[in-house]
Amino acid sequence: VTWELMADYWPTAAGDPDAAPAEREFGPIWTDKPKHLFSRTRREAGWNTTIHRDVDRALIDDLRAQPGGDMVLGGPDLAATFAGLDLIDEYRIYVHPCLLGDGHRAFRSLTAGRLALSETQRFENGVVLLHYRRADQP
Amino acid sequence: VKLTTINHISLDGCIEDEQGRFDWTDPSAELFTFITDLVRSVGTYLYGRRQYEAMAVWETDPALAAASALTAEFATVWQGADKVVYSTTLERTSTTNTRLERRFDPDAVRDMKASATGDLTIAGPNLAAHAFDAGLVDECHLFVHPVVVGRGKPALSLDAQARLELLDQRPFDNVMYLRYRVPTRRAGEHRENA
Repeated sequence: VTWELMADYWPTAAGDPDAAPAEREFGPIWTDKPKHLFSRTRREAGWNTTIHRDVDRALIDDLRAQPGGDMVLGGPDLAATFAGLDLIDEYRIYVHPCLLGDGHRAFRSLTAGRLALSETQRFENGVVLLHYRRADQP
Repeated sequence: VKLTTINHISLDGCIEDEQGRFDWTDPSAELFTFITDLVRSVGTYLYGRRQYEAMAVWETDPALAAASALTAEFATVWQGADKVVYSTTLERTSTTNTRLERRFDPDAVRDMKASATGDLTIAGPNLAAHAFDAGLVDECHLFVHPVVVGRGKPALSLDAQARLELLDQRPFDNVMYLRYRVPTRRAGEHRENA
């Protein structure tokens, strides 16, 4: 679902005159970066995307060993699966200044180990970034 | 005079885990001092029964106050404020300056706010939700702790949605302090969807 949300918008952002400059810049960054989609139903996906059926520890270890930048994970259910395999090194949480009542929970079934707050940043719209690392890593 | 909420929450917005534990909220000395200073302006605490029973030890258990200069100062500040406890079952209260109410009446709290000289703080998720829904809450103070508790008790279980204004933020080691203003609305007006 997260992949489809992203793929529905970002490939068009660069050519969208109504998009903000930052969005036009982000569009091609998203489309060009290598992506891994975990889906049991989806058969094909564009935009430099590789499809996997299941989250496999060996696969992630393999990807981690490859050269290149960090890997970012999206989607609360997928994050719960990764956390269950102890594969998440850092959490970047953007706290928005609003109350939603009952909504989708970011951490519904996710259990994290001990975390250390390593960085915070306030944005002008009242969003606060909370950046956590695992407490057992320097 | 403001009506505020002050909550220690996990990263996933809970005040306690499924077993009712909240030992992860133990503050550092710096944070403890900050919280004591924060509640100096509080003239009246509005408590649900469980929150009241958890806090009453600051007056009924002298050993707690005697533990350190920090706890002694907090105990003195806490004992100096008035308390209103909302409970249908509690027989009697165990602390001074404390009144027992059987039900939460938003109009009575509005009157209390109008005549109060110190701020009001409301504690307990169900009670706070009533106050939110009645449009009585002016500010939320949150201390976000670096733990995920999963299926715990949410600090705020609301029907209403609201956009807040971030007033202040500050890290205390691994705990993040966030202070929000809740936009005012006229009595009876339904909270606007954010």
